[in-house]
Amino acid sequence: MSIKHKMIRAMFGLMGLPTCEEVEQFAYDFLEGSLDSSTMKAVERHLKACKNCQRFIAAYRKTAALVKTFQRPMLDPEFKEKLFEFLVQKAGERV
Amino acid sequence: METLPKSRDFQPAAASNLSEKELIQGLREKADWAFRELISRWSDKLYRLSLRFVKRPEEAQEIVQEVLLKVVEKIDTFEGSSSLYTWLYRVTVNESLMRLRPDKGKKTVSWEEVLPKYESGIHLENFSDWSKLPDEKFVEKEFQQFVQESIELLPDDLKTAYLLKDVEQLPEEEVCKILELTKPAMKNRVHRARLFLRKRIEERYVH
Ligand SMILES: [Zn+2]
Repeated sequence: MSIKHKMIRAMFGLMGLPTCEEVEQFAYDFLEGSLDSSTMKAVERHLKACKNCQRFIAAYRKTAALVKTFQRPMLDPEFKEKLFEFLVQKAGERV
Repeated sequence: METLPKSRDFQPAAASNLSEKELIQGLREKADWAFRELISRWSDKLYRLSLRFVKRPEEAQEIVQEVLLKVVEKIDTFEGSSSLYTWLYRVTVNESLMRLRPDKGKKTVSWEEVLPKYESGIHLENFSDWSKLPDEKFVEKEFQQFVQESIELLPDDLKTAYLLKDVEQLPEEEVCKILELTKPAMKNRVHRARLFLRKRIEERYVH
């Protein structure tokens, strides 16, 4: 285990802040805004102190958001019309 | 009754405030308007979801047809307790996964590959913030294609949770009901999917 990592960990410990690993585990709820306010603040303070987690969270947030802009294909109206006729016919066969 | 061109009868259902119960009742009575309503309300949504799984539009169309046919066949057994909403998504997911089964030989990622590495709780790797890439990048067809292909590499359990939560943007409670998962289990799957995709995009567009 490297001295550098031990020192960083000790620093977060002294500041009463979560580790990077804990920040990752909070990431989902952090984005949803569903953390309790003291945990939320602790994560924010970690992010202020840790550039690496800042970058991680920014890209994680984008990962969740970017698919929202994806194309939303629609069915061809002609297909819907055929589907309608198909369903009506099948329902008619049902006793 | 007024005569509109037929295709105009399938408008997005936002305008319709018919309840699910009324729709089910209409379908039981085999009323034409109920079949139209079923299609307007659901076919595009289910098509989009199945297309994320199977890619080929024709196959996604078949899935929609299959699922809606099941509604028609099983409508008498529908109880108020299981909502049509949950049922439709669940059957679409299952139908889509079943069709994926034949190419099961393809590579998927494992959970271990996805996890970030730590030492004493501190990140071992240095991340890049690719969210700062120019906006145009994210709308490029090539980029979207890459993300879509990456989603396909996810194991089924992560893929379904991710597609419903992040891509289709369904409420958490609905995703849990559809996949019959507890909330922590659902969050965990979506989280792992995001970890994987974040990493894939970083590897492709930053390094
Ligand atoms: Zn950190």
